[in-house]
Parts: sequence; structure tokens; C-alpha cells
Amino acid sequence: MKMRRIFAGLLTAATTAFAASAVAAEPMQLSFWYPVDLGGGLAKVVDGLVGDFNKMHPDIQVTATYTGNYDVTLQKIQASKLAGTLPDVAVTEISSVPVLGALGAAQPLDELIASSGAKQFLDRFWPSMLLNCRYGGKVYGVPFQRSTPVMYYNKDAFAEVGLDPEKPPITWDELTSVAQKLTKHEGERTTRWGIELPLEAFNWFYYAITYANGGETLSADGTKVLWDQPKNVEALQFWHDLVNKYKVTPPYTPWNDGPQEFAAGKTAMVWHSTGSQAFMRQNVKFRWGLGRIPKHTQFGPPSGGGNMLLYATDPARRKAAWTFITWMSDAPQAARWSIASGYLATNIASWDRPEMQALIKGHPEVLVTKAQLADAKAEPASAKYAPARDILNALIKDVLANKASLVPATKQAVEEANAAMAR
Amino acid sequence: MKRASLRAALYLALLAQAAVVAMPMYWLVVSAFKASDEIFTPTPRWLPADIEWHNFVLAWQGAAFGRYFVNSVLVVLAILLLQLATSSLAAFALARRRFFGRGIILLGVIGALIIPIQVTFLANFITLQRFGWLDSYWALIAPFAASAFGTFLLRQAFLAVPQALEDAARLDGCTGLAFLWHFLLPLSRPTVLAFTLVALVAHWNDYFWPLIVTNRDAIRTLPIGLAMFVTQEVTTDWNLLMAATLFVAAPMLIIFFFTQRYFIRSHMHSGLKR
Repeated sequence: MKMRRIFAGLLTAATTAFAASAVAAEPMQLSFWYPVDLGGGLAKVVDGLVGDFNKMHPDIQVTATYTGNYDVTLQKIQASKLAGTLPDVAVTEISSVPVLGALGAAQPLDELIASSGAKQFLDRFWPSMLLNCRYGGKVYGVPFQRSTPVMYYNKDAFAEVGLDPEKPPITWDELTSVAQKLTKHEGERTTRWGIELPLEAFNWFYYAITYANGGETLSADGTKVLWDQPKNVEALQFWHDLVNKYKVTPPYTPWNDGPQEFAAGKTAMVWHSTGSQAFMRQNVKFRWGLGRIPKHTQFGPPSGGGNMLLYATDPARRKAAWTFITWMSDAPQAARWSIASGYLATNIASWDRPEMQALIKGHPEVLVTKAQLADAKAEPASAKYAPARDILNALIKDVLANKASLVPATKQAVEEANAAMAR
Repeated sequence: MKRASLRAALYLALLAQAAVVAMPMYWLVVSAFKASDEIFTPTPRWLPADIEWHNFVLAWQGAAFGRYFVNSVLVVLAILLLQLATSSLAAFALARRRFFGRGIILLGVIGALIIPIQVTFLANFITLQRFGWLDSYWALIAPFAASAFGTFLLRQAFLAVPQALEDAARLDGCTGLAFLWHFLLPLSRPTVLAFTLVALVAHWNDYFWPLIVTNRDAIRTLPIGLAMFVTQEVTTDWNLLMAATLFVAAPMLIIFFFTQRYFIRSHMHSGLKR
């Protein structure tokens, strides 16, 4: 009897479901590519966000696909452009906006932004986060997994050497003296570095020190690199001094090792992405804090991370994709994503949400990231910047390791880079 | 006396070399069991303080590894069978038959050896797109159905089989493909095995191509799962990455462990026969 009732119930449910699906139009299928790490579980957060979007929008079905790191995702999109198999929406590193715009892969968003209130829509974001979103006078990107570098520091180590654990260095001079106090040697060997400035393919910390010194790294039209300008040379000299004169930082730290070396006590301070906060919260066993990237003449952390770009050309698909993009960048989702990952809450209103306020209560250091949002600067970008990026990377490594002398090597690198970008 | 000390020196040198090879493997295993803050300690830790079995659970859950395993096995086996079939047939023709244009074809095969695989990626990608094969098993298998390396390697092995043997076999009615199957392939077993191992490892480890041509977990392979632990922006959980690497590399290590013995034995066999 009971069995029969259950069976009947199932049957009714099945027929209703069938009827419902027959009535409703096929949902629009959208593809969304994202480059995000899994170790920290961030891909699951993306899946959760996309799942919720699909539940709330029965007429749109977004499929999220992991596409490797930033560089590989860009390659995959470039190949897909040639084969005509572009996704509808994809997240790419911010400096690839001009690359994908020039390729004709990414589509401008201006008319969609106009439909969402134009200025009113753009004003939702911190102005600094929109700097890397434009190409050729048009808007292509909407901020998503955005970041700036911040300085993680070990409060216990500060206390140990008699420094105020609540006062991270904020100028170059303070940084140098604090780092000297924190560096520990055992004979010839350094057992704890004062600070580490890990290097990655995008040369973030070169931009960080140049901006802090009031310099620029790329001409406004994007055709010439400015590495040989006095402010740039002075900035790289400062980094070189930290390595070779004061010996408070190693000549080279691989990017991905920085946070773990910090967690292991191998360095007392490390510059890294705000996106590494989730890792620090989970893994660091001592008291730690966040400081701004120290200034020389001004605060000016470079921005980084990824924007959402739209690739669909069909009007109906574009509209659905735009619904997805606006939902993902809306205050509740921006707050949720920021809290889970440590990426910046790029939507200004998301900072007023109760969950964000709760996070600030438990982790007041998050306010440092907010302060940096106010004065963050653009990452250098142009359609042909990629070779220059690699030349600069080699230059930094060689100069810091004393394999090349700063001024002549910089001069040569500038010539190579300008020639490569002119091709 | 002199001989003994020479022997000791030789063993010492071999031991040192073995240590260099074994060290990364050892570090991989140890790191897989470490807590995150033990990965980079000022002085290296040779053993984890606590054995973190949990790393393996977290790593396994980090990506759809169960599905990736099945896919990797399917794809690699399919590629291997296709390559063995096409390479041995091509090598048979190139080594044992005379026909017009043989030299040119052989030159083409050698030429294909020199071309880096990356050069072919874009052309292959567009071809697959035209076939409508992107995002399917075909995209993972078809571009690797033939192998210039395998063809060349087997051709060299087949050349070493004396013509007298083929003549004798022909007298007994064993001709053409039967000769390939009953004589050439068994006699070239070390080469076939060596090629099998190289192809297995190469395609088991292949990352870039599968990532580019697939968009679904349902058909993706193991290296993509591994890469999900490495990022360009935030940090990498090296202990989880090492745990995942361990179970991804395990099948290859096991296969190598067993075939290695077989491999050496077949080497000795062929030596005796000659």
C-alpha cells in the first residue's frame, strides 16, 4: 500500500516535471571559461556561484570550464578564435584586454553597459579596477578576480626583534631598516629573510616599485617601454640594493613559493597577491598582518588578476551573457567571491554588506586591501606587450643576480623590447 | 686488491648517480605527506612531523580525478594501439619492400621527426574543428594515430632482421603481413617495448593539447587535474600537488617497474639469437 502510494507520487512528479520541461523553452546554453586554482578550493566557489546563477535564471544555463592558468587560457581563446569555437564569457588576465580586443575575439560592451544604465553601471566599481578594462576607447572587461599586491608580515617576528607589530613599514627607508632587523644569519647562511619579493611572469613588483617612485613603465600609446627613465632605474636600483647591499631579500623567489616560505618562517615579510589571503588564513600558524606596498614618493600598487570578457556575437547570446556578467559582478556575489578567495571586492557596494562587515571584524587587515583599491594603478598593457613582458622578466632576474649591470642591461632591454613591440 | 677498490669506486659512483635520480622522487613522496607549513622550512625536513593522509583525500577531491583516470587510460591505450598498428605497417613497407618513392617517404618520416609538435597544434586544432571532433575523445586520439618516431624506430629494427630469414619463411608459406606478425614483431620485441614505454609516458603526461581541445570534465585527462593545483597568481598548495602527482604518476611507475625486467630480458634474448 505504502509502496504503491510512493510509486504514484513519483509518477505524478515525473509527469509534472516532463510537462513543465515541455512547456518551458530550452534554456540558453552559455559557456564560461575561467582560470582559477583548485588547491585553495576556489574552483568550487566558482562552481557554486555558477550553480546559483543557473537556479535563479531558469532560462539560462551556464557551464563553467576550468581552462588552465592565465597564459594557457589566453592561448586557448586565441586558438578558438581561429577555429570559430569561442566561449560566450571567459576570465582572462587584465593585460590581455588589448590583445583580445585587437584580435577581434572579445566584443565591446558599451551598448550593453548603456542598457544597464551606462555610467550608473560603471560607477558600481572602484575606478582603479576599470583602468585595465578598456581598449580603443571601448569597454571590454568587467572586473572579476581582481587583486593588488599587499605586504604580508609576521607580527611575532616583529615583536621578537623589538618592532611594533601593528606598524608595518610604509616607506622604502622604513622597509629597508625593518627588513635589516628581521633578517637572521647563521654564519654565511640566511635562516630568515627580512622580506621576499617573488617574481612571476607579469613582473608585478617591478611595476610596484616603479609606481611607488612616481614612474611609469609604458608610454601612454603603448608603443615604448620606459624602463630606462631615471625613476625606473632608481626603483630597480632600490630592489638591487635590497638584494646585494643590505642582503635582506634573496635575488630570486619563485612566485608560488612566497606564501609557503612566509608560512614556514623562512621570510618575515612577503609581497604577494591579495588573492593569497585565503591560503594565509588556513595555513599560517603565527600572528600575521597586512601592510600596504611601501611608497617612496607615492602609494601606487599595480592592479592585477582577471576580468570577465564577452565573446558572443549573436544578440540573444550577448544579452544572456550580459545577464550572467552583471549578476557575477553584483554586490552580493562580489562580496561572496572576495570573502572566499581574498580577491578584491571590486563592487563598491559590496563593502557595506553585512557578510563583508563581519569579515572585517574578524580580519581587520582586509581594510588594507580596501585602502589600496583607492590608489591602485593600471598594469601596463598593449596588443603587442607580451614579448616586452618576457624581456623585462629576464632583465630583472639578471640584474638582481648580478649577472648584468643595471644601466647598460636596461638600455639594451629597452631597445629589444621596443623593437619587438614594433614588429 | 686493485680490482676490488676499482669495483668499490664504481659502485660509489653509481650510488651517487642513483641518489641524484632518486632524490626528486623521494622529495615528492615526503612532501605529499607533509603539512603545508612544512614544505619550505629553513632547514629541509627529511621526514614529515605528522603523516598527513588527509592530503590525498583533499587532492583527490580537488578535481574529478576518478573520471580523469578512466579517460587517461582509454586515450593512452587507444593512441598506443593505433601507433603500433600504423608504425609497424609503415615500417614494414619502408624496411622490407622496394617501391617507387620509398626514399622520399622515408625522408618525409625523418623530416616529421624534426618538426616540433607545437608547430602542428594550430593546424590540427582547425582540422578537428572542421570535422566537428573538438571536445570529444577523437580530438585526444586522432592527431596521435601515427608516429614518425615509432615508424623510424621500427624500420631500423626490421632492417636488422636478415633477408635469409624472410626467404626461409617464404618457402614455408609465411609471407607479407604474416611474416610481420610472426617474425618481425617478435624479433623486434625490445624496440617495440621501448617504443611502447616512451609513447605511454609521453601521452600519459600530455597536458597542453588535451587542455586546448576539451571543455568538459567528462573527457578530460589526468594532467589537467594536476595543473589545477598550480596557479599564476595566488599560491600553490605544494603538498596537495605532490599528493596528486603521486597517484597520477603511480600507474606509469608500476608499469615501468614490471616491464623493466621484461625489457632487459628481451634484450638478452635478441642478443643470443644473433
